[in-house]
Amino acid sequence: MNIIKKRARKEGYNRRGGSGKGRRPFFSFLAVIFIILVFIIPETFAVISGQCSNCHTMHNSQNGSPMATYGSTQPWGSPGPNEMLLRGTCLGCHGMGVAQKIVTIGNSKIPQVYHLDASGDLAGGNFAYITGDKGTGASDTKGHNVIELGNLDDILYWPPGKPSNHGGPNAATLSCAGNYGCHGWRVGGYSPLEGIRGAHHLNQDGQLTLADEVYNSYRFLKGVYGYENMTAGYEWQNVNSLYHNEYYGATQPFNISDPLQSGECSVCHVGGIYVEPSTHTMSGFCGTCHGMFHSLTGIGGDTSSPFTRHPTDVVLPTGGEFDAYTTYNVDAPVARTSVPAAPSSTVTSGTDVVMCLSCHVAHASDYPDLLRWDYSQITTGGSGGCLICHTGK
Amino acid sequence: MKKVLMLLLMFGLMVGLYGYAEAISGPCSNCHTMHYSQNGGVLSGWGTSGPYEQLLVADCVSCHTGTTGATNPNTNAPAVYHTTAPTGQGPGATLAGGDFYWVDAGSDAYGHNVIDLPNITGQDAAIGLTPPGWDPSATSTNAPTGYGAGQVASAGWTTQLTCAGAYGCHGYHQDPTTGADLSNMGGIKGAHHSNNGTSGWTDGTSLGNSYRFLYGIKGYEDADWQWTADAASDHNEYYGADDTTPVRQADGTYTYQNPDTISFLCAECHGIFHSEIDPDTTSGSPWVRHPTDIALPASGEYANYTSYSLEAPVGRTAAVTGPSGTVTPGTDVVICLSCHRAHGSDQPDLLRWDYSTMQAGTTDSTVAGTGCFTCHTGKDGI
Repeated sequence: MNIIKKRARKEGYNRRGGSGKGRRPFFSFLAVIFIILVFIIPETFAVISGQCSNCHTMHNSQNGSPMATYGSTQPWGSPGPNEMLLRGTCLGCHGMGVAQKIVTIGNSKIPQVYHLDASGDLAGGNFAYITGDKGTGASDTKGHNVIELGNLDDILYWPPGKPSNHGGPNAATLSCAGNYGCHGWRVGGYSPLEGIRGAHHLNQDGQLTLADEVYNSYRFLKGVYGYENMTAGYEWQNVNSLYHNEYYGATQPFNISDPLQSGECSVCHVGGIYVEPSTHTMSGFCGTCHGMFHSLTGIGGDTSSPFTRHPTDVVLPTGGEFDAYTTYNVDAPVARTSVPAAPSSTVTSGTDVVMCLSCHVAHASDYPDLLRWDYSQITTGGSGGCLICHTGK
Repeated sequence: MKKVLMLLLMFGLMVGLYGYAEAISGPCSNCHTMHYSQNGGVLSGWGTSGPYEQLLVADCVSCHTGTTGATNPNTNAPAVYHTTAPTGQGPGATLAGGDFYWVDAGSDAYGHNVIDLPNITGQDAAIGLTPPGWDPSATSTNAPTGYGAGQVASAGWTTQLTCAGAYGCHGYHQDPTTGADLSNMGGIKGAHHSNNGTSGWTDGTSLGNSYRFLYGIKGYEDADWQWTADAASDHNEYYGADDTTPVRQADGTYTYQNPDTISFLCAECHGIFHSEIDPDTTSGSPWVRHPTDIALPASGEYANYTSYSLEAPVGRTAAVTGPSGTVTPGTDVVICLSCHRAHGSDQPDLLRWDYSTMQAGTTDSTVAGTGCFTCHTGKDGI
């Protein structure tokens, strides 16, 4: 059927204007559609493009030599062959350790999460801070020690905040994707590449409010809504108040107990099998590993101060110091309770939401605890960091 | 009269059901010379470096060389090497196996560098003698009965690739009785006289009954080697298998199960490409090398490939009585020849299409739906 459709489309492309009767209105209609598509509807379908050979090798052999060479200068460089016939592993492709945060191969752009680019990092941070290849020195506390790095976390074994009677990824299993990873399908038995299979080819970006597949989830985080910044020149980056991702949040976090109680499984195991946040929020996603840091029970039992842990998926209060946070700051981004079609430079207390990524980055930063700023330097009467929201402190 | 009619009917049934038994025909002197001498010299149509084994008037390449047509005008043998540049690949330009023109013209990557070609003087500059993916035991265990060691170059690659014999593709590699390595002509000996193919199914039980004299390989041979072809009803049919046995994981220990498939033939030289395709013992995606002799999935993008493509043919898992224009995902299989030509093509890596134009997400109507996208229907932009 699809082939028939394809042929029909091809015939459509080749079809000429018929008798000419009524062609002007027809072309006007086409022009309107074109304008709507190009200028009004945001870009939401950005599947990967470029030569197959940019990413794949059929036999891992060319002229008698291996083709799976991406990331080969790094300890995680694999000689292949790799699953999905890829020329690199997750980190092989996205962690080449080069001086560019976006690597271009042919006409394919590959965002780098392990790089040495002095001009800055992508929004999720940079794993190179963990190893010390970038920043002020190596530290396990600076990021998520995915096993692909070959540098296991010597401090933490389980994710902090994990319900005490529940398993999950640990220092020996945490990976980029798959069963014990963040990206892709988080299903038992799935390897990282198996978890992410097909997502790049179907990738949707821009405003993502469905998230029923990996490819239409925010940054392939299954189940998460959001707006992916893919503005030319600013792709994958939170640059300033005008050009940044938009994160999805809720006015109340999900609720689980420690120890976990029966009936609470579906909070994270949607459909009973795979892992994703039932709230579809960015913070809910973090909560699938660090549940008690996020859960309503974990923060004090409700969404009002006093809290016992810093709240996430809770509205920035009105009527106090938070009212002064009005211009979006990429050092302490907020989440929106509905995913916008374009980034907004405005922050509205009483509406916008504090989230995990208001303080942390996902991969790694140059500061302990993956923080966006040096916590030890945040002092009352100062500026930046915590004080972006806590303006009165 | 009744008996005559009965005989005619039986003959008709035999021809209709089993295809023609196309053993070579014609005067002996078309192909043979008793003393490699005529009138004190050699005739103009003979090769000049004789005498040749099997008392032939020329070697493999000479007999199978053409200019612009399907066959050698002197021998009427199918032309696998054209002296005039083909206009492309496929029907009307090359036979189904492709053409040695490009590799012989100096582009090593465009074909199999058989030493018998007139302008091939040495090994592939990039690869050397040993084929990429060479696995000395990939096809030995399940080799056809009487096949010797089963592998091409079973003793290792000390000699450059030839058309047939111990270091070639066609014919026997080793003498079925003595196990001795065979030369080009020694390997192909007798095949032309016992040819059972050419517009019919070959069951691989003898050399003459093997697909294109690839010993042990099954298949359906198109009568004019696809010089003329039509996807619906006029083409070869390749034999394949859906081999989901767990031994195909990339662990360095491999024994492929079905020795009758066209991809097994390729694996006799490129074993690792065919065998070590899976990262684990559960057969199926994810693969680590492009699978062959694996059924095209009946789900997802592959389910859309339902009309046979001459550009990206599939293999069949059972004997056929004629070509079919239908592809059945879930049953038909991916084969090496889905992507590659056997002899050579106008593209690097003997590919059937220009790989550099295969752009994910393309809407270019000259590319979308072709090449890789014939099977991977969801990866283009239409």
